[in-house]
Amino acid sequence: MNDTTNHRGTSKRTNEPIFWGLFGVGGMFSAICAPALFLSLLLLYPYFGSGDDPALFYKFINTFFGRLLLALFISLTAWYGLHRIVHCLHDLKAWTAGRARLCYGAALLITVLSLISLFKC
Amino acid sequence: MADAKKLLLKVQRYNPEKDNAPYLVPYEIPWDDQTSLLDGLQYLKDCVCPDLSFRSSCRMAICGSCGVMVNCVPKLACKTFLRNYSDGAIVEPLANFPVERDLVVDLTHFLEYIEALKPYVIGNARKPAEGPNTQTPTELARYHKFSMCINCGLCYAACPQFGLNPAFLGPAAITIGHRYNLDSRDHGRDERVQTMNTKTGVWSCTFVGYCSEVCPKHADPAAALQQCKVESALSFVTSILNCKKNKEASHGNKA
Repeated sequence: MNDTTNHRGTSKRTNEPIFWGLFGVGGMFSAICAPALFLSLLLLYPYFGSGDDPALFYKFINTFFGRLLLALFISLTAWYGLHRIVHCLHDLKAWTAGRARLCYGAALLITVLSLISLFKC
Repeated sequence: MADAKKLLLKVQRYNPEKDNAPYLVPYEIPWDDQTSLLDGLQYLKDCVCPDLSFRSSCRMAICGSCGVMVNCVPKLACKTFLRNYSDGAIVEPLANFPVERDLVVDLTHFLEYIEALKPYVIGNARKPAEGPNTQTPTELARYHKFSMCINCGLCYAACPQFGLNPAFLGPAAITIGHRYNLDSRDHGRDERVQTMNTKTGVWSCTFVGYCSEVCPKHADPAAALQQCKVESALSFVTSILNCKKNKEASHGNKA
């Protein structure tokens, strides 16, 4: 691992806070918001709410707000999962060169694609 | 003593002047419900093998000298009782540190990291004549848990990230630094975060949490590290907003 400090007062900024922040938000979203959203949007609202129509979810997803929610879910969970994979690879001492670029690049690609689909669909 | 119950303790021995590699030696130890592992080791040194090396001092979990691995779990020998190991145990030196001899490890890394994080009150111009600093119970509660650290090094033996990268400042050093950052009498946060908010500082931690599990004083170093990460992330955003280059912004949150 590159040593970015000599522990004697000099330091170099690490970009880790960005990825850790996205990891934290993604983890929070996956663990807390996603189950509640799935329960309400996929089960409670279509089957027990007004309309009693399973297709309501698809109608909701076709709205801008629905697609925004889906795009957020896809991209944030991608950052969450791929950040975890970067650290797992680090712990396994595997794939040292380029693992961060590859994983974070994949997360960025997923984010861009989900945002494109938000406006294109 | 001759009638006492006995258990088998396998102790790692290593004399770098004679041995090529460390090896385990089984010893029978007499014990009762009040015998600590440290008592057992002292029995070995007094009665069986005078050349056995281990560190100890206070015998009451205050000095933090007698850390060893018991069945691969970091423990203070004085706080570990043989009654919980009636089937025997394997005693080895603390993991992740170089072994000097038998159960004695080289803690130089650890001590240097603590020193690097300036574990003392900085920038307090108060004179003795002005009387003591006052502190509210709330201000004390902010850092009190973290001030419980006795520098025993068990968290370093437990930390897989320190095992992977000895350049990591580690749980205890960061906890002690954080303890002073949270102290209302201290004004040295800016000096410490320069070292803490780096890749080998708080950002090497992946929140495994085993450090807090093995901490004999319940200082909860994992919590300190996560709090430091939040502060470092806020500092990062602040430094971006202030266009500071190659430098973590000072946090300035000295409540």
